[in-house]
Amino acid sequence: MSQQFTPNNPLPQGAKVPTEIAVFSPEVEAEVDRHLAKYPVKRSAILPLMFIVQRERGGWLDPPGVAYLADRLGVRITDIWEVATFYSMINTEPVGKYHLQVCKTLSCKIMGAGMVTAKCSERLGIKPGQTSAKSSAGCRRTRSSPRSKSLLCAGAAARASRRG
Amino acid sequence: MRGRGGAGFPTGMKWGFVPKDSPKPKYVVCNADESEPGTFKDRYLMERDPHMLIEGMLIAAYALGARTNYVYTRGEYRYLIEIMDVALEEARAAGLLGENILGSNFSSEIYTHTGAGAYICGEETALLNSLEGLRGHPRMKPPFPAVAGLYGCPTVVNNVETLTAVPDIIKMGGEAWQKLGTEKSGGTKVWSVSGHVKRPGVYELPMGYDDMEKFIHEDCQGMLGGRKLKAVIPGGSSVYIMPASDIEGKDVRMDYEGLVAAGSMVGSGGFIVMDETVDVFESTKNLTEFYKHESCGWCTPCREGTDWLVKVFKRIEAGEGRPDDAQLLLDIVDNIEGKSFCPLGDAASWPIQSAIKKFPEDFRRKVSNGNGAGNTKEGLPTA
Repeated sequence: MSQQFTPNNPLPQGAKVPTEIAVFSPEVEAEVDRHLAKYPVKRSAILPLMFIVQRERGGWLDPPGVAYLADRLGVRITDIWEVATFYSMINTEPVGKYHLQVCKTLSCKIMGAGMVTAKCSERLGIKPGQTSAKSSAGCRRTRSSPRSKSLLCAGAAARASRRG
Repeated sequence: MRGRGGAGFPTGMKWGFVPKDSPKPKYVVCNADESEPGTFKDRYLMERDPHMLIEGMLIAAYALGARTNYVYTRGEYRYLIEIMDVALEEARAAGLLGENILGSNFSSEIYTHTGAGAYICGEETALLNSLEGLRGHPRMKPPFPAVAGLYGCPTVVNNVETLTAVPDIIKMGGEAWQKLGTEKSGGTKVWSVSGHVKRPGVYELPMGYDDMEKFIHEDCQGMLGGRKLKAVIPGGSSVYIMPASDIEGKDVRMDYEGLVAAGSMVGSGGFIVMDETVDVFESTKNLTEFYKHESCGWCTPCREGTDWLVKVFKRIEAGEGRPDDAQLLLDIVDNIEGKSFCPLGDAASWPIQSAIKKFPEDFRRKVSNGNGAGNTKEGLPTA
């Protein structure tokens, strides 16, 4: 297995960049092609393709997945990371198998987002930002730590309000 | 019709800015990056009637001569893309989309696109950068997207609600549609109601609906648990907060002019109702944390300013409030508002300005509970 390196955990200076490239099934390749066909410029497909790679590579953009994206989109690896680190739904670090996010922006906060987070923590035995070893569920309270990327307002405020 | 995304720019004028004689391809982009806290009307429109959006986009594409169009949907709404893709397939099968639509020589295609969790991408030039596969930083304006937008080509970016209103405007005629509302604020507005009311949800009201108090207490069936109304943020998190005293018995008309007169704005129509249990210091801190997180980092006033605002809020909350903290917050805001590269800086500023002005007690309590107690020069307006 190649060394795991991410934007927050870069390779030591002078180290050789692993050249392993992720390989996907013909079905996934076809899905990638469908997205690439939508745009006159390949790079436009970067976010849709990141979601596919993330789904296929265990929930995050691992280095072989990043290399695949760079190859398919005809851009550099740094271009991939430049974009990946901007968007909170793209994971550049490993996450749990089940990634729970609880919105805590105003509408949801005043309707009890804190109780939802507390209940999740209690049931899973982990705090926001942690990953449980047993069920491989990660619980991330939005904006819980400086590094945590978060789900802010998810446009579900009306549902949040229907609690009783 | 004024655009329903938040800024309220006249839609026809926006379309009119697209140069007719440009040899470049033209694009229509639907802004479905609905990220303003408390707003969920576009989600509802796309979920329940995707064909209305397709029809509106195709009319826009026909009017502007656009062959390629995109629906930019926020990442959290990716399930809506599945709904849209099915609807697009149905439209194609019916000959309403693709090559030679309805046997005419007009051909146009609509594609769905996903964002990935960035509030700033609702700003139209940031959206275009994101659609080009870049970080979602806003662009310098001018040139406006109508002249140089997607891939440097003439582009119209419109909100979902705006585009879904287009078929009705064509069908009814502009004048009749305008008359649904008032003379200055024509048509209808879709409001997303959340918070402490008995019946939250999505409401389409004629512009100029009379009045906000009736809307809360009758249409939304009043306050949860019979508690008292404390405040309303009527147009998404970035507009000025309204205390109950500015609503009850004040006959606030729900349209552009009525809300400005009442000290706020229509914005995106994200109508957040808060009862007496809410501490406005805390609610404002919550929103400021949101803006800090969502500041894209491109310009200094917004990136640094929102960070400092959160630092001050946290210090006050930790019981280390100082007498002049409210003034400090206003001073920081003064260095953001109107000085940031895009409107996100203003959006972060307005909630704080209005909260300190309208709810000085909530700030005073927090500050004077801190170890900077005994404040005579607290810099707070006396209510």
